[in-house]
Amino acid sequence: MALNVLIVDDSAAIRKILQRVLRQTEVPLGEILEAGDGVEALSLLKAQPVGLVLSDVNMPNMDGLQLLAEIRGTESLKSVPVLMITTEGSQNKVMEALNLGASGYVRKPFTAEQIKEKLVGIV
Amino acid sequence: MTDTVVPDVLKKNEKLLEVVKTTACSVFATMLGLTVTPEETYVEKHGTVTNAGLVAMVGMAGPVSGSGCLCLSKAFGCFVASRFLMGEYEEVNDEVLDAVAELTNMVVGGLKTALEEDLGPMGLSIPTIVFGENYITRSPSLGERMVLSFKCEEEGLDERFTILVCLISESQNRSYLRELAEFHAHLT
Repeated sequence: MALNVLIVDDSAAIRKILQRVLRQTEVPLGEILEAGDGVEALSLLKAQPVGLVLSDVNMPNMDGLQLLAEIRGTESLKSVPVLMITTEGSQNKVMEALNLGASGYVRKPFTAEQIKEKLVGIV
Repeated sequence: MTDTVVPDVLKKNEKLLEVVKTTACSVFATMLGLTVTPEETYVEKHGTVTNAGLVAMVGMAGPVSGSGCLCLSKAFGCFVASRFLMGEYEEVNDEVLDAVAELTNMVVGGLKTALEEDLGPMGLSIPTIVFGENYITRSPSLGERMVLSFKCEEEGLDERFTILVCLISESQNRSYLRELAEFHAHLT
């Protein structure tokens, strides 16, 4: 079944790169949605079914960790896999994300292969 | 521009400057497939670096405060955006600005992570980018700005770009903010 994917990053450049990486994977893709922050992402998640979220951490309005907490705290969304992709490299941030229920964590700079490997384990 | 005696600020921050060099080389190699080579490192004399091109800035706050800036020419900005986004950019537009800002975010993110290992949690601002001709960027006079220059000679290029780093301690920052508040109070 085709999977709708939501990419959340305040950088349009990163959203574009991740779109390209996603299209290179064997993940059966439906619609690829984009959001520039956590607020916009939550609004999209509540409006239509999404099977995978790729999210940055450091974003305006609502950051990626707050978004993750909101997703895990919402009955209809809590089982959606969330892969964090971020420059936040400290062990504390990684642990915080994993404790909040992140499905995986990739540090920027990343290669397409790193993203693909993580997705294989998640989807 | 290069001092013959290594200034204290460079000696004190030697480890961090190595992190910036390593991170910058890694970001350019991983995200752009480009080899860049660190060249000289020096302390900026206030107001002496006149920019023409792009300057992307990311702030850091916590036990130390400061910023990291990536400064590059318009042509090199378009080139790196073309590599980053796999498109063709000959003029600076929103996508070029966004690509340069994101590369800066990655480099300063690496520096922030290194600082956190010794000092504890720190915050990172979202990037700001300036594009224009003949302008000067400065940090407050209490902080010495370290300049790391790099060259990129791949694919017939002969481009230089710089990364500027300024860090001040929490007490220096508090003192600076107090002076700033007094200055504003005096104005009103």
